[in-house]
Amino acid sequence: MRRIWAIFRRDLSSSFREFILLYMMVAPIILALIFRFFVPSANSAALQFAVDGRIGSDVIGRLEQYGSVEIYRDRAELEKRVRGADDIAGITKDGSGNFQIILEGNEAHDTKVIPQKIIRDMISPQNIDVDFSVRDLGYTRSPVARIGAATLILTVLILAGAVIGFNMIEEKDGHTLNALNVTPMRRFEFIIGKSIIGMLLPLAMVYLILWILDIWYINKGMIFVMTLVSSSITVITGFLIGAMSSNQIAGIANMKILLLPLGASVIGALMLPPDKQVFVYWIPTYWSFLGFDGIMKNSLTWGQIGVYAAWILGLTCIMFLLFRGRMKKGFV
Amino acid sequence: MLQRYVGLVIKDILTAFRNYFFVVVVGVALLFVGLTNFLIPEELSLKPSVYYLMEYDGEMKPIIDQMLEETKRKHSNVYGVGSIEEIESGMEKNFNSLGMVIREMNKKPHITFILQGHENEKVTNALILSMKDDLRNKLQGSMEVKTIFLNQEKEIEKIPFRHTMIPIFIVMESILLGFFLIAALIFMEKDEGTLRAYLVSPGTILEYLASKITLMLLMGCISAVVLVVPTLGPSVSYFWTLLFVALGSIAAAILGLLIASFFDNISQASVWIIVIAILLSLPFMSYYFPSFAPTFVKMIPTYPLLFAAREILFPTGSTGIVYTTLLGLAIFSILGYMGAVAAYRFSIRRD
Repeated sequence: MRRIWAIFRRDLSSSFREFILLYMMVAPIILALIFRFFVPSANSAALQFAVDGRIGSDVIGRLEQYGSVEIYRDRAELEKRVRGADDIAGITKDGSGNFQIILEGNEAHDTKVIPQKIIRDMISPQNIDVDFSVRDLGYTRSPVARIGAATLILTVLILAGAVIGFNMIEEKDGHTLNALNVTPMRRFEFIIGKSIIGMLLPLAMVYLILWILDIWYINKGMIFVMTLVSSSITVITGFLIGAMSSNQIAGIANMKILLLPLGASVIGALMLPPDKQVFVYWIPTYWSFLGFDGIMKNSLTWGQIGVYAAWILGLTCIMFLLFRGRMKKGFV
Repeated sequence: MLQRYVGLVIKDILTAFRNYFFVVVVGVALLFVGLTNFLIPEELSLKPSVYYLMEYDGEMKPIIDQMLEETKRKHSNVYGVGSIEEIESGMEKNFNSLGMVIREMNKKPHITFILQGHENEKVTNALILSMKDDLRNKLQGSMEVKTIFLNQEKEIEKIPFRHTMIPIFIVMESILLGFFLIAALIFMEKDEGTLRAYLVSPGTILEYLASKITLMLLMGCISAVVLVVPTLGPSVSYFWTLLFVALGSIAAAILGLLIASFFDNISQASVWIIVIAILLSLPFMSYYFPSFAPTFVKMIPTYPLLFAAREILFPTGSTGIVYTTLLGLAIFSILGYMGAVAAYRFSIRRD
């Protein structure tokens, strides 16, 4: 225990000295603040219209019901705007007062079709005899905020893992590991001692991120369990980077490879059809992502948390067993 | 000078080769080829799924039925269900979905949209308008509004969903490779004392940095070719693709150099490299939903890069974005290179 504590204290003081701990705390906060700024604009995203100013304020008012409107002085300016990288529909009138829609040609379906519908609705002589109403299920929380928060939490976990890994490479470079190998310290003491920062830091940061993103309504106990379980990913990431890399350059290459499954797990969970998600089951961060997302949706039971936790711990154990030999060699 | 530069490039290629960089670059690209060709669905709708319940039996029923059938034929994620509970349970499982109940009220059809609750008012208005317009077209016939396409010279084909990810890979992997890797190369040589030894030779920092940037350019181009050839084949303009990747790789490597110049070791730099990589990924949302384009997202360099990559790989005639992006990359590369040389000269003097 004393040796574990000594390794942890040594890591802590070197991380403080080199500002790494400070960076690791500040960086996710900056990301969370930027994200907080990003979420409202993502939520209010709608169509964009570039309008010839001479078209009249009543038409502009009507278009504003469906999207954001930018007003231009003449047709040339309007066309220049339509040619921009984003999707925006230009709306003007020809010499005889008929509406004209100006498009670049590569716009998404809605940008091509909705302006037509708006104009038809404005000029149509008759209304149709159908009533409409709207109600909702009460999920007012934006999925963008939820998905962003879950991704940010995974980033913190991987970031902590990367720092553990690079600390280890530096120790290898400085031959500290060789020195430690001839002390009475056992391998598991070294592993636990090295893992403490990687486990404690995400625990603190996750709550801070959720608070900054105003996702504070969640079950904090579930978040605690999910973060604690997911920090096993941090530890395995750190040890994989540390053991597999003979120097920093190889460390960066390995980190790049390890970032790929992280990206694949998030994209897979969001974009793959349910029957194809089986291809990302092997990635522990996939289960973490589902867990954090579900907790933020308030749709998970403790039983489901248990299932996700079992997947994460099971997969990290399998990885540890698979790479055990490589890790042993890497630290000799 | 040229001889020294060539010598440095050969040394850097050997270092990268010995550290399996080329294996990693080619392996990652091949992995993505596998994903693109075999796993990512050819077609995937990002539009919300619709669960509807039809309980209306009045005189407009045939028209509404016909409209629903046509929609189902066009979109695979429109499902008819038997109760409101089924609509709600389907919607609870899928946040990107909505429900629709069609009943009779006051002797006319009444359509209730059930939304999740996070949709904004403008989107809701567009949804109602869309339904109203479809019904009106069925009842009163369609009225065409004149549409002018600025790029009329070619028929624009729809990009299969699996191929829409290739520009993302080109930007995030082939181009941003250098952003990640160049810092590692610099710090390693700093730690090993190679940089200090080099500085007492006649070689200059100009050649030293240029050689690192060249290596990144080379790896970026290899990554792009390995990815694009097996996925898109010969139909792509390889001249423009490689020019774009080359300029992008140079700019990304220079950005990596500039960031690395602020730090003493790779552990410190890696935190910020990951953070900046996350920020650089924000424009993906605009890439898939191009009408979402707030100014601060447009200011992130990957925003124009993504659209330029798409235009180069799947041309629509909007060449403006390609030329502007290439020019922007060239200007950034020249200024950034000058800045990086100054920053490293300062940092070496300080050390």
